[in-house]
Amino acid sequence: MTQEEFLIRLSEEVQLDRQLNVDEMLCDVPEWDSLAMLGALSVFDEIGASVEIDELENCQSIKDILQKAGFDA
Amino acid sequence: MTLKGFDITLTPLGIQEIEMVRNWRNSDKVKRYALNQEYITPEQQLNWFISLQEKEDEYFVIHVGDESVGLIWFNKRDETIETGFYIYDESRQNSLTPYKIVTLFHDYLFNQKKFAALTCKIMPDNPRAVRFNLSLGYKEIETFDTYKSYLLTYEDYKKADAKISKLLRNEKR
Repeated sequence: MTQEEFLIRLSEEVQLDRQLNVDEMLCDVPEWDSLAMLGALSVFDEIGASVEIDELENCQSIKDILQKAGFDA
Repeated sequence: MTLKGFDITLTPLGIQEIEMVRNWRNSDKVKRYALNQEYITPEQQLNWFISLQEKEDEYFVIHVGDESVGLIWFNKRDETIETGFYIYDESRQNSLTPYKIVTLFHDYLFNQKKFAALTCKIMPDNPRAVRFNLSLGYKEIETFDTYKSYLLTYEDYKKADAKISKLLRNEKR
């Protein structure tokens, strides 16, 4: 999965009608709630990337999440 | 009955905690999503706690590690089980903590208490709660003036829980 595809899947899981972009801070995404966090875990699972829940919860930005997923964001 | 799972502990509400819970419940951030908007006095809180002894309702304080962060409960009215919870600590609300709490609680309700279905009531101006409960498998069943009613059957719980539990328990490889 490419970084672009990951962002598309993540946006779907968050139930956004737009695509998240790499420069966004999570605090600026009103829809970034516990469902979004679960959706992020789901996408990690899809691509076979593993992440500790604490690590994911400590992410402050989409870039942080991409880097946890193994992308050079 | 104390429930433990992940880093969550649910302990039965004790009399020493009712003042803490009363303060939580009277706070604007919790009260705004409650159907009863009235201020609760210490005497009312004590009377309510005493009345629980005569009912099958169960209330649990939610602990994350050593910190008390919220309250979760069910009320039993005839054969209807109505659930609810709130997390007072706002820093926990956008984390996976709500899913850990509810996963633990639903396991207790469905697999230990053997309830067949659960209901909950959500105010329409609480979209976060609607999204959350739909993801747990709840389905909207009825609309009233001030809230909508949702139902979670055992079958829908199993489907949603299979995915959620797997994700929450996925260890780093």
